Amino acid sequence: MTIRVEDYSFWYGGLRALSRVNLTIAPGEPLVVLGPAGSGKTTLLRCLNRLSERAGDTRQAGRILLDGEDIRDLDPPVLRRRVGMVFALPTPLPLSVYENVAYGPRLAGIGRHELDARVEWSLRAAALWPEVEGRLGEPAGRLSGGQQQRLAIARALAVGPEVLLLDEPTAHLDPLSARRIAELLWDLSRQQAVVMATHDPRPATGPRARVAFLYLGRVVEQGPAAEILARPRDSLTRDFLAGRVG
Amino acid sequence: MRGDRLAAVLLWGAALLTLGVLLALVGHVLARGLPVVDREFLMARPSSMGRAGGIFPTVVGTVALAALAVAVAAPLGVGTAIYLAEYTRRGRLVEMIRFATDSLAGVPSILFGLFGFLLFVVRLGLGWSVLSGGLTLAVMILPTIIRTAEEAIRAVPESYREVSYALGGTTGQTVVRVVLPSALPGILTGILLGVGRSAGETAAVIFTAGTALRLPRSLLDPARSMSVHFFILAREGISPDNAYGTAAVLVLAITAVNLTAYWLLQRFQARRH
Repeated sequence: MTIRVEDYSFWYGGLRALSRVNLTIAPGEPLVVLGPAGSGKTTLLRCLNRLSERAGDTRQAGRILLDGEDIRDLDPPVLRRRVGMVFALPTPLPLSVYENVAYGPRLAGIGRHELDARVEWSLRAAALWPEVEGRLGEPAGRLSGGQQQRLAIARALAVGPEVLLLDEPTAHLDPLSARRIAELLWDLSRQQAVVMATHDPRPATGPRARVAFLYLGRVVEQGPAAEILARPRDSLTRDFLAGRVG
Repeated sequence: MRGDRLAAVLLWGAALLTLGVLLALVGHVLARGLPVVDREFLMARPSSMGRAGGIFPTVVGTVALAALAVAVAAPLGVGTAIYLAEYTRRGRLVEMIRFATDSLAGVPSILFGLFGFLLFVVRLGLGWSVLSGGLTLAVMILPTIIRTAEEAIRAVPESYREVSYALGGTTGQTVVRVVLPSALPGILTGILLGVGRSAGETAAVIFTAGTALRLPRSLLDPARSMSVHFFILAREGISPDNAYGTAAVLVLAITAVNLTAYWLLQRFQARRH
C-alpha cells in the first residue's frame, strides 16, 4: 500500500503546522521524518490517520491518498485500523498484557477463537513474547518501559495495519531498549510500510530508509537516508545535523 | 523551616478538627440511639405516632425513596456527563448547561420540595407518594451526579482515549471500554453522595412523599423516610429516644452502603490493575 501526501497543509486554529507537504510512503522503504521539536513531525503523523482532527478547531488543504483514495472519504475508525500508530510515551491501557493486545482486534470484531493466536503472533512480532509468555494476565503497567513500548507496537500490529506510524518511539527509553526497538522496526519495515518521526538522526540510518527533513512545518529536503545524512543539500539540514539548529 | 512546621501543624489541626467533629457527631448519635435499637425496633411497626414500637415502615420508605431517586438520577446524570465530556466541544451551550447544573446544586432542598410538590404531587396528580418523593430527590441529586461524573470522566488520561481511537475505536467503544471503567471510582462516589443525600433528605420529602406512618405497598403510596420520622419525633417531642434510635440506624445504613461500595470498588480495581 502506498500513501501519497500531496500539497498538504494543516492549521490548528490560526497556526499553520504543516505547509504544502509532498511525500510518498511505500512498503519496503521506511520513512524517517526528521526534525527538531515543533517542526510538525507529530502533526504530520497524526494527519495520516486523522487523529489530528480530534484537536477541534483545525483546517486542512491538499490531499492524503491511501492507494489513490482520499483519506477524508474513509470512516476514521476504518482508516485507523489500516494506518496504526504508536505514541512517544508507552501508554498501556489499565488492563492485562493480553487485553491490551486484544483490545484492537476485539473492536474490529475478531472472535474469541482467533484472538489467542492473534495476540501471540503480535507479541512475537514485537519481540516480546518470550518475556511475557507466562505473564499474559498480569497488569500491563507492571512491565518495564522498554517492554511497554514493545507492547504498544504489538498492540498496533494486532489490528493488522498496512502502515505503521511511530512517533518518537524511543524518546523515553534507555539506550539498550531504544536500540532493541529500532532493530525491531527495521525488521518490521521489510513487511509493511513504516513511518517514524524522530528528532534523533541515529535511528534513521537503517537499511533502505528514506529521510524527510521537516522544519517549521515544511519539508526542507527528502531522499535516501544515506544520502541526506551524509551529504545534505540544504544548509538548514546541515545545521540541524551538526546540532546548530534545534 | 519554621514556616513549614507551622503549615504542617495548621494542616494537621484542620484535619483533626474535621475528624473530631465527625466522630463527635456520629458518636453522640450512636451513644444516644444504639441503646434503643434492636431487632424489634427495626422490624416492628410504630404505634402511638412513633412513641412506641419500631420504625420498619420508615426503613422501607427510605430505601424505596433513595433507590428510586438513584435509579432515575444515576443513568440520567452519568449519561449527561458522558455527553458533556465526550460528545460536545467546550462551547456556549455546554457552559450554559454546566452553569445551570452548578446553580441547581446550590438550591436549598426545600425549593426542590416545593417544585416537586407543584409538579409531581399536584400537576401530574401523583399525590404524596414514593413516586413523587423519589422523582423530586432524583432532580435534587442530579446536579451532584452530573458534576462528579463529568469530573471523573475528564480526569481519565487523554492518552487512553488516543490509544483507543488509534486502534480503530469509535467514540462509543472508547467510552464504554476505556473511559467509563477508568472513571468508575469517581462516578460511584457521585452516586454514593446521591444515595446519602436522598436517604438523609427531609424538607424535599415532606412536601412530596408525605409523612404517613404506614408501610408503602406501591410507588403511589405515601411514605415517611427515617429522616422525616426523626425530625417529627424530635420536633414534636414525641420520643427523643426513638428519634435518636432512628438517626443511629440511618447513620449506620449510610455507612454500610459506603463501605460496601468501597469494597466492591477495591475488588474491581484490583482486577483491572
